[in-house]
Parts: sequence; structure tokens; C-alpha cells
Amino acid sequence: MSRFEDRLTLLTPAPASETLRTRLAQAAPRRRTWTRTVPMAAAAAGLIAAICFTLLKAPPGQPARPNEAEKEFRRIEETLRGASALRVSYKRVAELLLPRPQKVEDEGLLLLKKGSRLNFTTTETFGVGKPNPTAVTFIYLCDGAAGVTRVKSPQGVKSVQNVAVHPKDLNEKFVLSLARDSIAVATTMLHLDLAQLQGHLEVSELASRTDETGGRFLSYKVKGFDAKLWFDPIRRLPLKRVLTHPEMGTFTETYEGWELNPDLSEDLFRLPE
Amino acid sequence: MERTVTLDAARYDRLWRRHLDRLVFYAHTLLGDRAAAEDAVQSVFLRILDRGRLPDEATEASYLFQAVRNAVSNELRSRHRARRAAESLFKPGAKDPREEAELTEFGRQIQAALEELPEEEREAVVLKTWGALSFPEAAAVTGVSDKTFEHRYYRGLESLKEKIGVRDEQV
Repeated sequence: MSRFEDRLTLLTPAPASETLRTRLAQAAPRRRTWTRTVPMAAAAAGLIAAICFTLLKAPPGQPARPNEAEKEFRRIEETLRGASALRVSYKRVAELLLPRPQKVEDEGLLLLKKGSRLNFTTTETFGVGKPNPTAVTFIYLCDGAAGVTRVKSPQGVKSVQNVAVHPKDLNEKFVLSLARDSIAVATTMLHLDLAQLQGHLEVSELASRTDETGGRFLSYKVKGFDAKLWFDPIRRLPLKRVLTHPEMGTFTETYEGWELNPDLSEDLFRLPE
Repeated sequence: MERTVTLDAARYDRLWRRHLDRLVFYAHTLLGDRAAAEDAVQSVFLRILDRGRLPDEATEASYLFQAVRNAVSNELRSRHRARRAAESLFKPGAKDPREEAELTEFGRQIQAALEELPEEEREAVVLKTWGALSFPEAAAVTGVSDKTFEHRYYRGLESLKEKIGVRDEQV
């Protein structure tokens, strides 16, 4: 620890007010066990409020107003869409049930810049927990005019044609995939046009929820999966997503090191000779 | 409707007394508002009471900081922007009057410099220095890797030193 850090620790946080201390002390249970009663009137009021909300939410003949969860979801998409460039790392653990139970891990870095400039590297490790796991690295590059996909495996490096990167609408496709589904699957859908992708990633049953630490997340359905998306409510960026499908398995994806509008050199998007 | 909740009252009491000041401090640095910070911290403890379950002792500090961070996030979201701090973050701590005057001035400078730091760096310095969390604990609270958190912390320290215009050897 430096002398400066030592000096900082000499500064003592100002104490919380007596008012707060009194409130917390009074809120504490006086016995080890206590019983709390929710008045029937409150329960009845809640029921009436729920009925009113349902009736007001979707008046006959009018489209339903977007609820808070929908607004939040759109804000995340707008944040991603509004960035002229972005950088984010991700990890993904897939616990697959089909074609046989197995664990696959992905780890990668996405660099994306307006004008369909893409540099996305992801390493996929198959057979995690088994004696000889295999790692394969995929590199997706696009310079705005043309794209290329390269694969690095134990057998060497080669370019592949069957997952071609098309420049058209590339930024928006990644925005949709990042907000709704997964970075990892974005690349498998680059052959779709934007309208097809939007249809494929249509979201339903959006709801805003709170976990036990007070962390807010959105729950929804996409592609037949139950999805939970934890996000940073201040920066409005995805932090973690869990996708569960009863037959396919569970996919947990975490994002970190978000940088919006970083200065990304054009060299990063240059295609190999 | 009735619900019976079992909770160790003595442990709850120890819990809030042990962490209260630094949680309020942390919330204060994020919100820039002492009263709102106390409200956020209070909501966390009331939530614990409501759930009727105390966090594990081994991870209670990081649990509480994370819960406060969530409460603050919700508050910031509803008000859209943070207010600037008006009240002092630090209390005078020295017995010797001259030392106390120096420390008070140092605290004033640090508070002003903290307010100018980018949010991520300020949070990193506060969690590590006054939250007394380890790097892994603090990293978990902010939802980033240990390495990213350390980077933010040391960058924040360097910025603080620059802003108050001293080199490490002079402090």
C-alpha cells in the first residue's frame, strides 16, 4: 500500500445520522420470531389495483402502451444503437442437452464500429470437463465493404465460406443480438436479412423483476427460450443473460468491460491479404 | 394473510451497526446527496427484514454493498442525474488540533477531487479504501473482473493525486 493510500485511510467516513440509526434499531425484531399480518384491506386494494391496471393497460381497439419493462428494453437497444463504436468482452457457458449432454464454453471480444466494421474473435471450447477439450477460435472481420471468417483450430488456420460476413446492416444485427439473444449466435445469423432477424428475435412476455439483492432484470421469451437479462440501470447495458430451454439446455452469457465510443483504429478491421 | 419470519435479532443488530457508516458513505459518493444515501441504505436493511433472512456472514459486506448499489441505481434512474455533494463526506478524526486541521483540509481536497473523478474510478476508490473490501469482493459488487476493477482503482488513485497536486512522496 502506498503512502497516499495510507493517508486516505486516515480519513474517516462521516457517521450515519442518529435518525437513521434510530429507524434501523426500531425496525429490528424484538424477538427472534415474529408474525406480520397483512391487512385484508391492503390485499383487497392490491386486487382492485391489479384489475384496474389490466383494464387500463389495453383498452379495446387500441394498442397496449409499452410497459416499463418494454421501455427499459428499448433503452438498452437505443444505448447500443447510439454508440458509434463499442468494445465488450463476453463469456458464455452452454450446458447443452442435445444431441448429448455436454458443456461448451465461449470467450471473446467484440469490436464494432459504425459503417459495418467488425472485428469479433471468439474461442469455443468443446468438451469442457472431459479429458481432451478442443478449442477452436473464430475470427469474424468486416471492413465495411467485405467480410471474411477465419477459423483457427488444432489443424491450422483457414478461411471459411459457409459463415460469410455480409456488411449490410451489420451494426443493427449485432445490436439486436446483443440486446435480445447473444453475441455468440449473432454470427450464425449474419446471412439473414434484417427483417428476418427481427422476426427471429422477436421478444414476448417482457416483465421487469428484482432479484434477492435488489438487482433488476428483465424476463422475456425469445426463440422459445425463457430469458433473464440483468443490466446496468445507469449505463443501460447488458451484464448477464441466462437463456433456458427445456430441451436444448441453459446458456449463461456475461458481459464486461463495456466501452462505448472507444477510438478504434481502422487497422483493426482490415481484411487479411 | 400471515407470515411468520425467523431472524436472529442480535445478528441483525450487529450487521447494520458494523456496516452502516461505510454503506452510507458509499451511497453518498454515488448519489451526491446525504439524505438520499441514507434512504437507500435504509431500504436495503428494511428489505432484509422483509425477506426475513440475513446474508451469510462470510459474504455479508459484498452483499450489502451490492444491494446498496442496486438501490442507488434505482434512485439515480428515477431522478436521471446525481446531485453534487454539499455535505462533508468525512468526519474530523484527529485528536491533535493541528493534525485535525490538516486532515480536514486533506478531506476537503479529496472530496472535491472525488467528485471530479469518472464514476467508475470514484466507485472503485471508495469501495476499496473506505468500504474496506478486497479486490475480488469489490469487483463482484461492481460486476467486473478483478483485473478491470484493479485497473479502475489504480487509475482513480493516480487521478486523485494529480487533482490535489501532490506526488506520492509528498503525502
